[in-house]
Amino acid sequence: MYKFLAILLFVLWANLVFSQQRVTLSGRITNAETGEDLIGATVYIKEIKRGTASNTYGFYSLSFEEGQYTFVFSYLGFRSEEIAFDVNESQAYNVALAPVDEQLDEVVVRTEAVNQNITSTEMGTVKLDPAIVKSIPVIFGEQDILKTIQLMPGVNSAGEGSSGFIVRGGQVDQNLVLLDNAPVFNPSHLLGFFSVFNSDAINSAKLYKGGVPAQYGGRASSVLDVNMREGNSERFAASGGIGLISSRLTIEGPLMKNGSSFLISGRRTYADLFLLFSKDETLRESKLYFYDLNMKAHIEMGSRDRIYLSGYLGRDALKTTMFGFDWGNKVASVRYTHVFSSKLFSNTSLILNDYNYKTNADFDFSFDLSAGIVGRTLKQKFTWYANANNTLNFGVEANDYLFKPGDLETVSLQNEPTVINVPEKRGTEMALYLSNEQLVGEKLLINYGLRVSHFLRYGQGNDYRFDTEGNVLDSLSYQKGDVYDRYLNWEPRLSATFVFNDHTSIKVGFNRMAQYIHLLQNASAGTPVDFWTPSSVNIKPQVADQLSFGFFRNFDEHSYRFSVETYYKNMQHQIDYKTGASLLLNDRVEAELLYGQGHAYGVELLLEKQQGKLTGWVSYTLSRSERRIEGINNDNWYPSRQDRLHDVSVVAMYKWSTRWTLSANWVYNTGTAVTLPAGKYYIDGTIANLYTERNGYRMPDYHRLDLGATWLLSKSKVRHSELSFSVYNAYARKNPYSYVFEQDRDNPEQVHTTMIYLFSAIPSISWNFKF
Amino acid sequence: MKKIYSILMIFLFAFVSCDEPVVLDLDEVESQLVVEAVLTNDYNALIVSLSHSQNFYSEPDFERLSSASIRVTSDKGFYEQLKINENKVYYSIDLTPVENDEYTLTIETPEKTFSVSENMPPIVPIKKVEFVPNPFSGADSLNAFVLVDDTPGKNNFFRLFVQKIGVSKRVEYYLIDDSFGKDAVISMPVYYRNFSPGDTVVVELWHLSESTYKFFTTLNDNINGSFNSIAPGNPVSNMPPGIMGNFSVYSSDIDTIIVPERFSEIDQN
Repeated sequence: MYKFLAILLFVLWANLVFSQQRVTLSGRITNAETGEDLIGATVYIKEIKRGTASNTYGFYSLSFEEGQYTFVFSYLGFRSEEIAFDVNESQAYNVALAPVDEQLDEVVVRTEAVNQNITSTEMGTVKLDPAIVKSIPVIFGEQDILKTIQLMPGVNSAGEGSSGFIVRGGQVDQNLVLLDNAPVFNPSHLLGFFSVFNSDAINSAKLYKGGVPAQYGGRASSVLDVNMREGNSERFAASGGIGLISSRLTIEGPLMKNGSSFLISGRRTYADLFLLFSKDETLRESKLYFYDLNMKAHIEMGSRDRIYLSGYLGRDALKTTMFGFDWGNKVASVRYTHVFSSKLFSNTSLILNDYNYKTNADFDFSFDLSAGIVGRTLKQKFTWYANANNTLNFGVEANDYLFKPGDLETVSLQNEPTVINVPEKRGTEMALYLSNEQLVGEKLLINYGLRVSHFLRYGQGNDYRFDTEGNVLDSLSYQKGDVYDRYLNWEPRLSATFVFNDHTSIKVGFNRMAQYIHLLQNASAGTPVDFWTPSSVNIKPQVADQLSFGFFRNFDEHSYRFSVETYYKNMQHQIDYKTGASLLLNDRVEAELLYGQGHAYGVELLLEKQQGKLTGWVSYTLSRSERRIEGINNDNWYPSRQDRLHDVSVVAMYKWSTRWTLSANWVYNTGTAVTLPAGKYYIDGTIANLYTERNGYRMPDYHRLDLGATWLLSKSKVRHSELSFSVYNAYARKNPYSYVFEQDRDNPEQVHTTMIYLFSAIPSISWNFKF
Repeated sequence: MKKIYSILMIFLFAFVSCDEPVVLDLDEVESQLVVEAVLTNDYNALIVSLSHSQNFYSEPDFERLSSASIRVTSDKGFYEQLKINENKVYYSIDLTPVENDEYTLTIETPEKTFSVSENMPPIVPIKKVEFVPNPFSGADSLNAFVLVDDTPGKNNFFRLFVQKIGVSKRVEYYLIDDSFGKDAVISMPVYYRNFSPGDTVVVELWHLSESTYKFFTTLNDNINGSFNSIAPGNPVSNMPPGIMGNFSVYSSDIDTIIVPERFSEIDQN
């Protein structure tokens, strides 16, 4: 790996030293109506057919030889600006783009430039426009970025009623979810029915399934980078919606006349209101809801400096007269951006995040149980637009974690408290990275880099080594200030695009990702009581190597976009669980774990129609995801729970008239792998289930049709009002969630199987407004 | 802890889920030998029954086997060939288990011969049974609290049964380790059966070996249905691979109490 680093540095040096002198045009691209940054807006020079895109803060920089050029600034959904002028010296040029009239007879599908998919090195990447998210019908009428992403190839739901999502056969904890650069430990509300992302507060979302840039790390499968809106810096505004089970409100406006702004967006569900009609008194007095609050302020400090303050607070609650259960995230970040020059951009972030759950009971016997994880992160990133052919990203990152596996206090009627504290654990993950995006000639664009990550545990604690039976072989005790369980990983990243012409390109990519914190799940579906644990002497860091190849072709003036991507992912140190594993409040939980390898491979096809009255996409994924874990299935390969051989999504949006937009999506996937009993026997006065292999069966195939319609009631420059109708699972397919095996009450030797499904057809209606 | 988790999940999904009976398309599996062997300090200290497993949807037929030869030995030189009764249950006559001695069960069937060994745990007596008024019910509605002195210096595992004579069946109330009362007094509240003065209550406390505890806890997970268990599977057993069941060992203490008119402490010692 040192050789790779040496080569990388040499190539960089050669490219930077021997490049020609150029001029640079730089600046910000913003929304003319609100003043907000446009992320991924493009700047294109017609004469030399070269361009770039704005970064997360709307900043762009483009170098070229002196001369007169025609610059085209564009962002889909906005009017392009085309302007010609002389550039004889480096200069700043800010552009504000105006949104197009939404009453045009088109629904736009993509945020980026029409052929960005051809020319960029990004492959295995999904970019979502919140406007698209709002068009897609989802459960209870709640538009949701995570639900929309699952309609793309290679991305699956972890299952109805499950937290998280699956990318290219990986596990739910292998996805790094960022909100304004801050990691979110649990991105789901109410067991995955909703995500923590309020689409009214979201500016952009990008999912990296492969070809992950070196600036990202810490998870083995993917990165979902979500950016919040900054708020309207031109005028005060409010927007929101009232639906059957939830409502939301967003307030935004200028802070000062210099372009600073704020945004506050909140929502709350009120599903428990329907419980008031129950005949059962316990249900009538129960609570079931979630709320979340997104807050952001951005402060302009001159033309070169900005400060962003972001916060997220969300909580889910389930309460009855005797029992309570709540969980949620708190995230806060401060980011400072500085433009050193037209070529050097800096971003410094300080982040705090906290996820925890609490449950309590209070009747004859009371208990309080809590667990969680706290993270503190410092990131420093530089972007150096070195010359016309090279853009470097480099920086450092440090994440400090406090793991709280669980604390339990019980009190009986005799008032004898019992306390169980599973010892806390601490760990730090650090990384430094360097990457370069380089244009070689006119047709080859490569992005190469290296991320070096290091993890260690520190502080008071115990390490145990176990035999295969889970018995302690030896133990080590550590005191405050001790450092132990160190791991180092070199993570090369490489992607390349060869552009045949404006319409066709091929791409190849490789990335290695290391993961040092792991989510231990108490159930096959993600739940709020899953908990994070660090790498240790027993739990080695997960390492995933992914190789991917893609062919991209646009048709009919880029109205249609087609891509086929293949990938192979090899994963080391994968975790699975012993039969009957007991994880909750277990201070030797590592004795319940088993380790091995995994691999996933597949082909993803995507056809998109971007323009016209009818837009949308069809995606198909053919894939496999398998594990081989020592101690399971005689150490043979077996399907992982994420294995879905076929996955199809069809999404359509139709602009029927100036007031009506119709939408539909149909999804299908092969049933998940599941462990079922094949036999039974009599023991201890009851019938026991006889299992033969882990994940040896399949749930029935899953498919579902969702329909939606939006009626634009009124629209002016400032006001907007619409009604949205949707039916989730329109043909009421009973997609199984789980099976339960029970003895017959009258004949205990007979066993029955009951299928549990979560949803039938669910209609919803909501009123959305903006003023 | 698994009960707390199960309660949480059941409660959450009770708000949204629906169910219907189904018949799954399951494979046929080779029948496996099932051994249910129990060694305890009761009369007929060792009882063994043998049967076979069946396919999941087969008509139940768990007829016991009688073609085996079973013997028990100890590390102190004890030996006994088990007899078989008319119910095809093998049993010992001479065996009186000694605390901490190791006992080896050897089973010879026409297909295979195998042995399993376990140590006999000592008796942990029931310290007290208290009856306390249930604050949510009337004055004659009492909860029972079974108190046990945890043996210090080692991990202990218990199974508690409570029965109200003439009213209810003997039911397991607890299958726990000594986390709640480590090296001190363990309190096992019985909330789900209210008692009244004059009731005759039988309390039976088993002190289990660790492997027996592991077997029963994983058996509970197994029979309670796979409500999204992260690793559903066969109970963890001390039997050789391919043989279901367990050689379970425990010492028990049984107390019969008549709930007094004035519900104060009942000292069993």
